[in-house]
Amino acid sequence: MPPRQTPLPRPSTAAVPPDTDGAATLVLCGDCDALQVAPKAVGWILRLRCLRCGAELPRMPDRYLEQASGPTLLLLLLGTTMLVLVAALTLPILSIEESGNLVTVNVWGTIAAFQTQHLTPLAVLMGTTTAVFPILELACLSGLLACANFSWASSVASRLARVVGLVRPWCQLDVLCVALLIAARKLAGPYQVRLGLAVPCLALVLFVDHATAPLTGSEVLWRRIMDHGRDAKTGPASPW
Amino acid sequence: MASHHGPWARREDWAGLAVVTRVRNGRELGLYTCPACRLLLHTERPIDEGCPRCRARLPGRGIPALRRDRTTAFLSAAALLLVPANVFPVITTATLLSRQSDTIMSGVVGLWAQGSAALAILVFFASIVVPALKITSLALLVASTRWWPGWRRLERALLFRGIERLGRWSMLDIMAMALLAALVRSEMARVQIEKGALAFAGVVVFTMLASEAFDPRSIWEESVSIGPRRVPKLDRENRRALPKLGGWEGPPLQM
Repeated sequence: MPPRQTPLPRPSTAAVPPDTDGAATLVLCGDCDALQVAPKAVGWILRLRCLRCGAELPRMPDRYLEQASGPTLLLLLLGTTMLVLVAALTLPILSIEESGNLVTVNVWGTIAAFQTQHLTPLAVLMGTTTAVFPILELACLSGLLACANFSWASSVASRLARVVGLVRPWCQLDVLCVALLIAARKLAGPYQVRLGLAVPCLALVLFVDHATAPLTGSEVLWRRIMDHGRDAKTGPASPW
Repeated sequence: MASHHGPWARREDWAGLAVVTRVRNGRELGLYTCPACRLLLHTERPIDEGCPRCRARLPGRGIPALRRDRTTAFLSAAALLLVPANVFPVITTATLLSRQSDTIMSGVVGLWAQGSAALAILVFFASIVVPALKITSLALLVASTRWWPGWRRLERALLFRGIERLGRWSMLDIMAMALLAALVRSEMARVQIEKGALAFAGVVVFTMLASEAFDPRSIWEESVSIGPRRVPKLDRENRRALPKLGGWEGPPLQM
């Protein structure tokens, strides 16, 4: 008698649905394309790795999003982080004191330094990687959560998710923080150097950004978006 | 996870015993992931209808050869710009008494002479080693994907992941220069950014574009076709094979 096999979610020709109340789902590794069964994320600490190449499989702790107030709280967190980011770009990031004169600079001033030296491509590059794209990423993630909270069309949400995927590799706030240390060390000889208020703000933004990185692939989030869309008769019925 | 070769993955189970599992690629089964919401989809589904979950436009799996050519083009541009980026000065420091232009390498030497050995090593790696390493590694990956597809797959995958993580740090020097130029602008001293910085920024941008254009999944394919490949349908055999895939050995799975 053949051994009894454990039933798994079966793929259909349209879509391979995630199991709604089961313990696992099928995933493709983004790095090596291996099809594998992944357990459902149960808490903040679960990290999944591909069984073939070891790449981390992005999973959002869905249990948090399943709570009624989960997306609303996350939306508030991301909105606040966006304000903190705007403050971080505006507040002084580094200042030097030279014979009684205090020179202070913020991120916008740093970008403008390229512009005043007629190096517009560098100004554009730095402006996009340290200001425009990080704000855009946070705004799109907030929009995605707003789609889950309110009855916005799922097509809007998909566009926002794609924008997040496009701009995320180009966000370089972490590089800016290390560059800050290098500049401070170089200036430490002839000048008195002080780090500005923007530094803790940048650290907070980086932390929240890292924690919410897998949000766009959350099954629970997309189910909520689709349910709202179906209620509002703006989108097709959910495939599961 | 311990090792893999070809379609087999060797890993450790929960009891620490080695388990060899047959792994199949999504392309082999005609499966791919929605770029917006990461829903698993089959290519039998008409692309025009979009993703059933988020209604995103579906690009399909793309043509490997085209992605490879795009990577090669970006890499060539980065390699060409690497020469002026390292030869020409990137920054000039002018004081009342002197005027000194620095290339990336002389900036590293200056940091070392100041006594900041750790920062000098950091800048040396971020600005000189990483861009050169990224260009040579990506060239190796592109060449191996085309001519030696079965050669050291795991090591190549790890190499790609490593350079993808490290590559973005090449912007470090550019940002540090911007901060210096913004702060030191008095009559006594002034920092001027030179055209070499433009070439260096070009290297950074083109290497980032090259690594984005490269598809790491092509490392794990048996052979890469030149044109679009005919995708197998989910026939009865594949449908039966699907539940056997993967390495899930936890609690019983429920439907």
